[in-house]
Amino acid sequence: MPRATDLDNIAPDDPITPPQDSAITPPPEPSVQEPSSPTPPPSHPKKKKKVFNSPVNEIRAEIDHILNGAKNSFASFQIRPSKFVFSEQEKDEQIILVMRQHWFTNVRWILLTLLMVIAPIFLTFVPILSFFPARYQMVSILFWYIITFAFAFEQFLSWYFNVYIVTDERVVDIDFVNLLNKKFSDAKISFIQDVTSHVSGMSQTLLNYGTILIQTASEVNELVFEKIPNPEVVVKVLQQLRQEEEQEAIEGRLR
Amino acid sequence: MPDFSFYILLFQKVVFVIGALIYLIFAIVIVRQVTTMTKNVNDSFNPFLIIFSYLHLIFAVFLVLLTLFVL
Repeated sequence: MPRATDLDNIAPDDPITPPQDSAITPPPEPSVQEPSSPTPPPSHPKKKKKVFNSPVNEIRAEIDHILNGAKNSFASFQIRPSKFVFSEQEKDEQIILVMRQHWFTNVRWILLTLLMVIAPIFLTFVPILSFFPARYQMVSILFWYIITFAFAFEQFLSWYFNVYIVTDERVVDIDFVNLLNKKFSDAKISFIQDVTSHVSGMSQTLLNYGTILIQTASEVNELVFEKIPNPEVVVKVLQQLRQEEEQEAIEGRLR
Repeated sequence: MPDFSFYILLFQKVVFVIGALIYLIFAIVIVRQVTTMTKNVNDSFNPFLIIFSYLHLIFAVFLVLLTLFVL
């Protein structure tokens, strides 16, 4: 690469033009082709169209490659979702991953709901409501079913709205606790110091989900992505994003 | 003079009505929360959740009416 002669007076985004009478000739750019070159036309014209193949683009391609190998576990692991938006999202912020807890974490409350649904059948064997008039029995059973529905709905909402988001700029954890408390935590990718993944137990090993601990240097010093699918993929993506942020910082393009 | 069982049934009715009213408040809270949450996190399944929450509210209103007029 040609170097600026006066580094003290150059801005990060100034174009660097190589001196005409330089003694040292710069090496040719690998991606730029000479117009009169006798080489045959490239087999992948899209790739060769890139005039400037920057390290950031290479990192982004690597992220895409990593994400292509990940399994999409229903709505638990969405790669670059087109319809997903969150309220704190910035204008030019791109969502790379949206994650929820693995679908298997819902099995417990689904089974409990099924048990609650079939529970009134046992009233025929154990007639504990038999001393009530018929209309009271009917309303009691209706109460039971509506409470069952509310339980299942609340459990589903807790799962659905507990979202972990990785964007090109930060990691975000949105938690709704008991439908009444909302917690929003985020940390810039450049502030991430350490990422640890933790897969334990038979179901987590078999179904490939686990917990990720993200240590940051920001105000929220630890973000926990609990029971998310493909934890090792997320760790790799975060590593690449950190490299991308470092590269952008070197190039002076940090937002 | 009314029967003793009348008072027991009246007590039960009051308990059911209070329970249904508390449930109605809970259903209203769920509608409010789902509306707030869908504004915060916008995903493709959100319209169904809003419909479910309103259906739940309608059931809760129905339950209050049932406890008031059927019991």
